[in-house]
Amino acid sequence: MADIRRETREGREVLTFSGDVTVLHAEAVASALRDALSSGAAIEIVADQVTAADVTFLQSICAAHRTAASLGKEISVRGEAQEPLASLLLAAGFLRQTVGQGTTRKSCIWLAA
Amino acid sequence: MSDMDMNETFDLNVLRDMFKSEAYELVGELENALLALEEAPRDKDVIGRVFRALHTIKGSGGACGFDSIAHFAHEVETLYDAIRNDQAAATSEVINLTLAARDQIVALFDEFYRNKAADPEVTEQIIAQVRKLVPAGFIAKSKKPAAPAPPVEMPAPETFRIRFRPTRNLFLTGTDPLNLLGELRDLGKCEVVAQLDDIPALSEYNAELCYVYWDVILTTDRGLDAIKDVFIFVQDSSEVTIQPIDIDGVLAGEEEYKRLGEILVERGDLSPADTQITASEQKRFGEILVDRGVVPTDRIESALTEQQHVRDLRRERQKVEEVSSIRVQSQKLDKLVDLVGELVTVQARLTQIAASGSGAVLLSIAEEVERLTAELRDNSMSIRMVPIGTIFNKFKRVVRDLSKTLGKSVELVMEGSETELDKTVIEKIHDPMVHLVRNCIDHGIEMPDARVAAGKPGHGTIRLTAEHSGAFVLIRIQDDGAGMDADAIRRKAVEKGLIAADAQLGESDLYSLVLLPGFSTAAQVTDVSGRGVGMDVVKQAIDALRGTIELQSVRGRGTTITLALPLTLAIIDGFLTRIGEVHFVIPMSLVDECVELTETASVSSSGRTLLNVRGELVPYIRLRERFAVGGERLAIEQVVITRVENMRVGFVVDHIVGGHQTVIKNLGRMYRHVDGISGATILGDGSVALILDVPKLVQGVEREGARA
Repeated sequence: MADIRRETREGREVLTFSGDVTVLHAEAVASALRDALSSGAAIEIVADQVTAADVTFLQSICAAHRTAASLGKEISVRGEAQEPLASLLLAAGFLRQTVGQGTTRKSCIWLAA
Repeated sequence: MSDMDMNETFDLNVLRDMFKSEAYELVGELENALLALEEAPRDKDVIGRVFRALHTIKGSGGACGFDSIAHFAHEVETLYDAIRNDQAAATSEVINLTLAARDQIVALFDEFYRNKAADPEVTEQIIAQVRKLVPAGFIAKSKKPAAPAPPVEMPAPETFRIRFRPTRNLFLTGTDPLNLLGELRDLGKCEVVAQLDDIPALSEYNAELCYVYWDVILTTDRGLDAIKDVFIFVQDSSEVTIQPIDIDGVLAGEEEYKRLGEILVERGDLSPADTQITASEQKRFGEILVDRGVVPTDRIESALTEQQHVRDLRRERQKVEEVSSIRVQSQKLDKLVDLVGELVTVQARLTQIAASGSGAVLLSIAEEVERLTAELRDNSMSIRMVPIGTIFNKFKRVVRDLSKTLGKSVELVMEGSETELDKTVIEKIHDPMVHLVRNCIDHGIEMPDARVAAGKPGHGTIRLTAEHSGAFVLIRIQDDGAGMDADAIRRKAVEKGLIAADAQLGESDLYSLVLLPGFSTAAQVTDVSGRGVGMDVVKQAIDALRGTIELQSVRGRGTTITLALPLTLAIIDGFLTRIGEVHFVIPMSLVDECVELTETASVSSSGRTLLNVRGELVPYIRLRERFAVGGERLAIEQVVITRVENMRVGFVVDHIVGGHQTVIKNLGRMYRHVDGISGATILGDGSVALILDVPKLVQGVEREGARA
């Protein structure tokens, strides 16, 4: 079961996802991202409490990243290095390893450490 | 016991004996791979290295009847199977646990090979912890150890480039693309790059549609049909293109693999005309394509991944070729070098006889034998040479564990690991070097807060370097710690009666006092060092190798310990001299020059005999007197001037014979402790020459000088 919480902290919209964020909750995830982006100047996505996720969650964050870039807003993700997100990023091929930081810092949110 | 049982036991024991050195090499490789993984926990190559090491320990161990080791390695291997399949991550907990497992495997091998009991409870505890880390439901692809199956002819692996563009409705059909990608991974070495350029902004985004498509590079021996089978249920609604990329053996070639532009054109991601865009010094070709919006970033990532995949394949193939060598017991090598030594001696005899007027034919044969013998000698010596990196790598673990224990942060930097040194020398310097490295961490490197307070970075650095210098290899152990306290050393030396209170010693000589037995300035005795034993043992070990040790230190900046070790212990370039009928060999690497001794050049000062060499007073020793050789002194004697640790000392002899390939023979038990002689060699005429222990003789001169 997905749990999505939003709060404003030091001028940032903090969106915390916990539980299962799979295709069953894809619309709820996208909707929460839309709402957060329409109000805050900076968005922080916290995903360290996620227990299960799939491609829909990752592509929703990509869509949010694209939206934030077009609106000139900042967006960041916390918890992507923790399980199960770390393994999902590798398995789904989202993690950018080869193209240097200089090229894609702004174009992709999933850069390998 | 039946004959058959006896044969089986015998065979197993033979196998186990043959496996011994490989077993310890495998656990060494496992340790190195784990330490590399700690630095790059997501690096698939390194994860593969750990997996392979465990897999080989399991397979080879099982084949040699080490069932408990095979079972144990299998448990740990399952965890790494999950990690390499992206089902688990190589966290620090996993790496620490695997290092503990590695130590337990060593203990289990030691139980058999070294008669040291291993604690079976540790094995069980580690297995229990490992099982907790394996994701629930994960089924290992690697099988439990079983009897080796007969070899099956496998088809050669092929590499494919796959683009999978699923229907937008993929999720609505209940298909999870991760399952398809997982099936591809099961087929072989596989890299997946998601293409994200079709994902729209949230205003046009439908969360239930799939906007992502994938590029995959797959090397498999299962063939094209196996790949097609993966997509069998989605092929009608999705776009799947599969291109083989190693046509005409392009991947097996030596030349550089396709350039980025070529790959992009082949994939249809770039028009041939756009390949004319030239890269500049500031920007690479891929960056320019992205900046100009010609190709999306993800496609560049995908093409670069393909290049990397091919590079990795070639590197793996190279490794396979590199290991196409044979393993020989080291005793056999020692025997070979012994025989070559005998041959060198006989050849010297032959050359001597041929040169004494036995005819042109014999002389020409003797010359030919001399040339071949020299080649054979160099060749057999080179077989014994081992890169020093084999022991350098072991220090990574020492530094890691000890710095953690002491709460210090220490980085180990290694340079010149490829420098080669005789196998025996390598084996004998391991323990002294462990002591020196532990000393650096315990006494040299300060605690992080003290370092920061002193304006240094919080983490300390230990630098291990090796380089050739003539017939020696110089090994430096350098730390950027607190440095040695010259005043404390002086106080301690005076307190212990090692030097007079008013003795005038240079800094280097002062630091060398710590190499004397029983010397320690550590205020507190720790588990690590500071018990006053160790540095003298280090010195003895280095002396025994005919090497030298030198200490330099700057207070607050760090200490550098330099070991100079001979390249080999078996054959050296010697300088043959004669007094009466007795021959002496001086190691050529220590010889500076030769001069004649005349009455006018010789002076006496405080009981020491000195020689004036172009204005420099050089102490000298008359070997005739030192070793009580009978006969009268010649009117004109020769002095061979040597240099040891920046001190020049001359040795007076009757005649200088010249350069001599010296095969070192140990002295018998009765003569082993004769001071000033380190060994003997057999000359061409069958007589024996003694090899001078020059450093020992020089030390004697130094002591006399100090007394004077």
